[in-house]
Amino acid sequence: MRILLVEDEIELAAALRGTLNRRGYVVDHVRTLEQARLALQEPGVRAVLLDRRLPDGDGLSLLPFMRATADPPPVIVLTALGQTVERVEGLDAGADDYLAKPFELDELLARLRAVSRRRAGLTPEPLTLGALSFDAVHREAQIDGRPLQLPRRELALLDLLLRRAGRVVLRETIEAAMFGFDDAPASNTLDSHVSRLRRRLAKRGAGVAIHALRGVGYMAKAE
Amino acid sequence: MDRQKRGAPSLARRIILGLVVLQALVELITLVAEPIASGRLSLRQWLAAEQASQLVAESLGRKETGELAFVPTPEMTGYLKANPDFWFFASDGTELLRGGVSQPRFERGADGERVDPRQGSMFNLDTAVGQVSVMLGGQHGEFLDSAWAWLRDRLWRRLIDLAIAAVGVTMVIVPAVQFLLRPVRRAARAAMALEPGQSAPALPVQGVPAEILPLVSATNAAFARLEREHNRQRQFIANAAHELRTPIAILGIRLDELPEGRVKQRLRLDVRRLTMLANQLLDLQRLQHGGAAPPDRAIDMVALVRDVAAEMGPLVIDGGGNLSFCTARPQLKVVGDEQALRGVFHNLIGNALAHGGKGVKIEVHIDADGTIVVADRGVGFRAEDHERVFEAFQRATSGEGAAGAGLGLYIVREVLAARGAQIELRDGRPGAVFRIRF
Repeated sequence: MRILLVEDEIELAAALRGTLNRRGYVVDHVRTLEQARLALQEPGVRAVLLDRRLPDGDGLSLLPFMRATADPPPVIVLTALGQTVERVEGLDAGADDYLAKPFELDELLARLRAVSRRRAGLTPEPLTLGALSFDAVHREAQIDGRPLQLPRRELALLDLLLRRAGRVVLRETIEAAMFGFDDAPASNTLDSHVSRLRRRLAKRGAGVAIHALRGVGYMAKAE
Repeated sequence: MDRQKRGAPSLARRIILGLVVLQALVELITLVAEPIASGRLSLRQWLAAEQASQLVAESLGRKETGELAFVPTPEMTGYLKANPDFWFFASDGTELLRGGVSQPRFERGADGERVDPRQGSMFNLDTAVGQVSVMLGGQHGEFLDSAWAWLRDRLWRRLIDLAIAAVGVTMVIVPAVQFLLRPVRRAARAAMALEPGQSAPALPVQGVPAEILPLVSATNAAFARLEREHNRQRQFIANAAHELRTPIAILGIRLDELPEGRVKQRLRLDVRRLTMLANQLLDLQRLQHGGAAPPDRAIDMVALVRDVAAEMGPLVIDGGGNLSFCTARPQLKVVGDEQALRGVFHNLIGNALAHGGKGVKIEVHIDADGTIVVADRGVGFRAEDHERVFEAFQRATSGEGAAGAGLGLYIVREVLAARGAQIELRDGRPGAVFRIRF
C-alpha cells in the first residue's frame, strides 16, 4: 500500500518511513504543499499522512485541492497542534482522522488500517475475541467454529461488547441497544443478562471475560 | 495585611494631630500676647488687675429687686483689707455699683464729674449674674499669686477651646481623608484582584490624588514590566514543550526498530511518560494563557465523570483492579472547559492507579451536595504530603513508589481553581481520597 507522507521534519519523516516500510507500506515523502500537490497527481496513493505546519502553509489547505480530484485518498492529519479546537478544525476541513504528535506508532498503524478499510467499503470481518467469533451481519456467534445459540438480547449484548472489545461500554448504551427506549428495564435486569451470558461463554470455553465496572458499564476482554 | 495596617501611621490622625498642635500654639501665643499687648500697665500691675477682676466677678450678686449687689467672698474681704487703695465700678448696663476701699480721683470737666479712664482697667466679665462691665484701680497683688490666678482662669478656657477645636477638626478631617482616598482604595482593590496573565493596566489612576499618583503609576509600570517578563517566560515554556514533541515522536518511532523485549517495553513506557509530560506542560500553558481555549459551557459532570471512568476502565482492569461509580444526583451542571475537566478526572483516576498498587479498588462517587470523590484503597499518601502533592514537580512518595510526572495533580488543582472549585486530599485509612467541590 502506497502512502504519501507530507512532513517537513526530515528526521521524523525518515523514522516514520523506515518503520512503515518494514510493515509493508510504500512511503513517498514530500516536504511542502507544492510537492504534495504534484505527488497527488500520480495515481496509486492510498492514504496521506499530513503535517499541518509546513514551510509553505497550513497542511489543511491541501484538503480542498484533494477533494477536487477523482477518488481522493483518505487523510490522517499528524500534528503537534493537538488541542480540541485544532482537531475539530482538521476534521471539519475533511480530514479522515487526526493524530497529535507525539503519537504512538501502534495507534498510527491502527488508524491507517481503519481509514483504508473505511474507504475500501469492505464488509467488516467477523469480530473475534478469544475463541469467540461474531458475524455482525448475520448475527451469528461461533466458538471454535461451532455455533453458539444465544437469545436475542444476549446477542445484542455480545455484539456491543465485541465491537468495543477492550473498551468499556456504558450501561446506558447497552440498555438502549438491548431494550430499546420504550421498555425501561429494572435496574438489575442488565446484570442478570450479563451473568447468564458469562455462564454460557464460560461453559463453552470461549476464552472471553466480561468485566463489570459497577455504575459504569462492562468490558469484554480475552482471557 | 491587618497586622501591617496596625503598625502603619494613619494619615487622618497625623493631619488631626498637626491641626490640634497648631491650634494649641495659636492659643498659647494669644495667651502670652495678652499681658504684652495691654501696654499701659506693667506686667505686675496687669496681672494684679486680672486677679482683682476675678475677685470682683465672684463677688457680684443681685438683690431681690434685681439690682446688682456686692456680695464679697471671703477672698474679696481679705483682699480689700490688704489693699486700702482698691476701688471698682461695676455695671450691668442699667445701673452702676461702686465698691472698694478708696475712690478714684474725680475730675471736674465741662459736663460734670468723671473718672479718668486711664486711672483704671476695663473688663467685660462673664459672671453668675450675667455680662458685667467692670472698671477697677488701685490694685496690688503678689506677682506669683496673681499670675497663677490669671493662668488658672485662662488655661481652663483655652483647654476647653482646644478640646472643641480638636473634636471639630476630627469630625471634618476623618471623613474628608476617607473621601479623598477613595481612588486609592479602589486601586488597592484592583491590586488585590490582580492575577498574572491578565491584560493591562493594573490599577485605575482616575481620581487618584496627585500626591499619591506617582506611587500608583510606578506600581502600574512595575506590573507591566513583570507581566512582559512573565509572558516571555510562559511563551518560552510553551515553545520548549512544543519543540519537545517532535523529537519524542521520532524517539517513539525509532524505538520500533528495536527487537521486542523487556528493554523495549520499558523504553516505550519512558516515551509515554515523556509524551505525557510534554502534553501536560502544554496543557498548563494553555490553561494559564487561556488564549485558544474553547469557550466555557455548561457540562454535566455526572456524564463526564462516568465517561472518564469508562475510558480509564481498561487500564484499571488490566492492572487487576476495579473501579466503581455511583451518583446521588441525576445531573451536576458545571460551567467550564470540557477538555480540561476531563483531564482532571483522567489525572485523578490515573493517580489512583499509579499509587493504589496492584488490584487497586477505585471508587468514584458524586454526593447529593455535588461533591465529587475519587477514592482508592491503596497505600495513600503520608499526611505531611497532603498539601505538597498539588505542587508542580513535587512527587509525593507513597509506599509503591511514585509514577507519573509531577504535574498531574498540579494541573488538576489549577483547572479546578480556574472554575472556582476546590480539591483536597484526605486520608482514606487506607488509601487516598480526593474531594472536589464546585
